[in-house]
Amino acid sequence: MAKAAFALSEEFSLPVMLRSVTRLSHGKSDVILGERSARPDRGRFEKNSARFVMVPAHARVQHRRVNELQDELTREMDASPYNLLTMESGAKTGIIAAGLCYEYAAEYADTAPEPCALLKIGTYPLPVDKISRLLAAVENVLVLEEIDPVVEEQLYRWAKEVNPAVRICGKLNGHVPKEGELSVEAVAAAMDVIHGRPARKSRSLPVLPGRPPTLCPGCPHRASFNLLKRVFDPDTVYPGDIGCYTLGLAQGMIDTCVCMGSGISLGAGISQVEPGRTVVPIIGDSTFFHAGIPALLNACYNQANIVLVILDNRTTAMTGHQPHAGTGLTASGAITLDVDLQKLALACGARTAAVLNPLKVQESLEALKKIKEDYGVRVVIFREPCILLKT
Amino acid sequence: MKKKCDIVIVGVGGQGILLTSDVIAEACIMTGIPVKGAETHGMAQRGGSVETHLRIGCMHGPTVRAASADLLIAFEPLEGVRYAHFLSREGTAIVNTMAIKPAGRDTVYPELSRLLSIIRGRCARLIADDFSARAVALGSARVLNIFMLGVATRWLPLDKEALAGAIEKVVKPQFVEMNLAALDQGYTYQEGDHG
Repeated sequence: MAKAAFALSEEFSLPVMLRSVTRLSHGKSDVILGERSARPDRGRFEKNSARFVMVPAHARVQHRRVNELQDELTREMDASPYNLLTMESGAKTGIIAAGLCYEYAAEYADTAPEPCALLKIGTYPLPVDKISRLLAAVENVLVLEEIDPVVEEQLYRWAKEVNPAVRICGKLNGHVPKEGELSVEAVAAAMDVIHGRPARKSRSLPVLPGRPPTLCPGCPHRASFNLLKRVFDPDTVYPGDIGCYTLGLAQGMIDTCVCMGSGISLGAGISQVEPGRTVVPIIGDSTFFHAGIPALLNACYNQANIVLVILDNRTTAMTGHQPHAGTGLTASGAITLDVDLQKLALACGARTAAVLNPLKVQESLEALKKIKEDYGVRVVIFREPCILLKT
Repeated sequence: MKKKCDIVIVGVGGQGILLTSDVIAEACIMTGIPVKGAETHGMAQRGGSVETHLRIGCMHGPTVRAASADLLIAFEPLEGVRYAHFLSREGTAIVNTMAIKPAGRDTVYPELSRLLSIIRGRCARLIADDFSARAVALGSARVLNIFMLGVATRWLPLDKEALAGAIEKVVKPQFVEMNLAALDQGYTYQEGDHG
């Protein structure tokens, strides 16, 4: 679909978004390789201010153009193989399934007690013609989509025109769970309700002790958390971020996790409204490079009172050890500059920026105690490579 | 040899669950059988409960339906129970009996016999043993996964040679020999053979 998305984008001069879901991103399957088309490794930026400079005068014109394209795009999507309509003779029920949900519907249909028509939805704009043909042909429609009922809510519009009597079953009227991942079982349960069949029995398992993920044995973050706990009082606020260190939740070392870089901004805000409280935002090296720099700059500029802890394990551990701007390597492994975190923090306006080794306990404890007594934006860089880099 | 096979592989993050899944998937590719898989990875796997699904010969989604797995490979008994609802009544469960207690001071680990009886009650065949001890006897606790894959081979629509070929392709070169030996030993493992 990525290839088709690029082709569509080129054809209509529009951005095309490719939406993935966890089950797809964390899944694997056979892939049929297509022909690789020759791609020049150089291009040329052609100036076109009406298209690329979105000042209001240009934006008004572009907005009209995008609106005028919608009908053509809808026709294009109706013809697209990613929207697949399979009518079944005698079917009184149809399933409209968006994305991966189609696989659950198709697997259900293989052994379903009733014939059902299937419509796979792979694009937006929605294929209005295919949807209308399905709606006109059946008595019930089950809508399957994960997260929000985006397709379902629009169906009512077209049902009104082509088949006002059709019964639309989905998240809005409780046939499909509103939260969580769907499955073949969820499809079967909804179809049972639609057709008035008794619910299937499933044998439940006893309640078991949970097994949440933990930091690896030997993880340097454990040492850093231990040092912070020993130096800062228990009432300290630790606004956090997303990375392996979010697992510090179990040790009471992460008080927030919202989006990349937000821990620093939240911490700066908290320090303004609670002047007496110690605020220690925690962020990883990779996350800091990605989204922490503007937040640190803002904290310094607005004179926050925080100790920003950067857990520098020299990699992007959580997602599989990808290099980042501080590692001296590009994503493709070429040697590049290695941005100095300490200099960067000072350039953002931090009052102090110390590099500590969390495994050197006494030395780090003494340094932390001094930093604690100071005021303003203080940055502590705990530098020790991820234990998985050493094994 | 049955061509379709739904497999659920579970354990504790770090036990080599994803590698086992990769070896089976690679063997399918090398044999020319369609395969799909779904897994937990990244931070979610560190010391936590890990489940991966593999569907051999399946044309639909990557997740195994409840009560339909032909094979459950559990590297840890509590994790075996956690995912036992996937097992088909005709299915086979291969369970390592070495327990790994979850983190937390107050966690009470259930009786092993109770765990095994829950799994036994949901499938046709349970093969449970201290496979970790056997892996250690073979030279490294780290070959537990491939040893158990060897035990599981007779229920897979794949032959041992395909799995060995996949190991050579997927496993780091310095560990290939050790893992091939573990596959062999697992393959010839006999139930009740505690030697």
